[in-house]
Amino acid sequence: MISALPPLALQAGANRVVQGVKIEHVCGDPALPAEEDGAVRRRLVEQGLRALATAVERPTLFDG
Amino acid sequence: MHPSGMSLTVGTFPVREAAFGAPAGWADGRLIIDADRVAALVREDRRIRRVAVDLVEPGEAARIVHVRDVIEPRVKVEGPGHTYPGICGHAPDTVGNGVTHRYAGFGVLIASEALPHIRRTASAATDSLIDMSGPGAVTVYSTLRHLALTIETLPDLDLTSWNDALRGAGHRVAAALAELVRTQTPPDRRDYRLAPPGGGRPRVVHVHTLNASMVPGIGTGIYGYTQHALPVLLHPNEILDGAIAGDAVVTYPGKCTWLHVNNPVLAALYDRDGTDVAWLGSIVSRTRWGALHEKQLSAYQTVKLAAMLGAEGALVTWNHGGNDLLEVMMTIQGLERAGIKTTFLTIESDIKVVRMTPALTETGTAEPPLLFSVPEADAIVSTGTLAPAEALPAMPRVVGGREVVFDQERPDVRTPAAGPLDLEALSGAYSPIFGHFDNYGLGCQSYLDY
Repeated sequence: MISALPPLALQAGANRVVQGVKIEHVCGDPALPAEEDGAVRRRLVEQGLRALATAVERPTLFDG
Repeated sequence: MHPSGMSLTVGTFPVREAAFGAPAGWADGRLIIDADRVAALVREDRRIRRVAVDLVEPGEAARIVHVRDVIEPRVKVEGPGHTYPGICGHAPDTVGNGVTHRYAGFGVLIASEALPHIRRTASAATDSLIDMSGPGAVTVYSTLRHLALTIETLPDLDLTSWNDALRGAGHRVAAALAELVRTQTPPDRRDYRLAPPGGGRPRVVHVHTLNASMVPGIGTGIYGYTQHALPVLLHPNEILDGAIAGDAVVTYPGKCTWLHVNNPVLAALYDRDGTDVAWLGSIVSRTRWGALHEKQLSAYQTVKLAAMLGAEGALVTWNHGGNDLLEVMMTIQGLERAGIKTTFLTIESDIKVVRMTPALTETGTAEPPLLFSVPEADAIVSTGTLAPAEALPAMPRVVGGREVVFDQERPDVRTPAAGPLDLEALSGAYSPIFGHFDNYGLGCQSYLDY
């Protein structure tokens, strides 16, 4: 899952957690110009896909 | 100035009876209120169209709805500043010195139904109620005598104007009532001064975390400052003079203006200061930051402040629920790692309205009592669950409005306020009982109360 608050998601037992932007806008940043916001969104989705393709044994944070 | 330099005498005028009449005044526990004068004060603001003025008593078969805030009348008799500084046009002078007079057991209550567009702007502008008797009368607000101002504003006010109009009216009335006892001798008087630290007494801080609203301009203010900001050190006397005050929008009870000047944490720490602890003051840090790194920064700076003050122990409190718990727990973790022992005073925040039974008080619900925790939080005092969900009986007297909305997402579904009200069936995640987040343990929602 993409979460603004990974410590909470990990403690709740989510297997794969990607660090999102913030509570108000988890998957993007409206404060950025559209192009940069798009890049943030793309990075988050790609991170999510990488996480899905990675085997995990315990709740794991993907923040690379 | 060392914090122990601040000195405040609070003179208390208990209100054991309140009645409308003339002339207005207080004598021997009886407060006479001039209802016409009160209504005129409220209507000084052109944004207010109508007001009804009612007195409501503990134990009465009465329900107050659309509660927006409760204010305890307090007036500065000596010393700089104005009680409830920084709001309603009061200067932001530092308060906490001199003499303050107050009424005890009494509140000026602002009631007003949220305008339709306000409901959409601020999800925290829910409908709330206070039952003065029966199974819903579990919070401290059911024990007060209320002067209830039911206010109708112009319909097109924006959020800020609506808040200003309602809150201003409440504070004008509260200030005028407090003014009645300015020159009288209070039957009870207490001096508040922090003892100089020393004598080997453990140095403790109150880590007073306070929610800041994600909607700008509303919520709990510090000298009226409501936005997220890094922590600040307050002398408890500032809080006793109203430096922490609420708005007239949010119904989450942790922002209630009456609550902050009556916070039992302050009284408890003052009882022990100079005896077996050295109380260094209250570090006020804001919660409900939107980003993890902001929550971390706030927690780390709070820990740093406590360490720089030489704290050896910390009493950590919070006034809200939900994701605020992350920065609260990170603060506890940081304090413990810095060698500062912590105790956390908290509600058990299973978020659903639950019908409390004796069995559930033993086992709790299936939900975790705390949304998030850290291993370092190993000394926790519970003030109880969020709210009872007993079916509330019909009430012959209703003040504040005729109908209530239990689901902000469905404002057209309106329920007659006179009841009966089955809260478990009607309400969503949160109880509509004003004061259901009993963060400081003033009500009757703990294990011991059941």
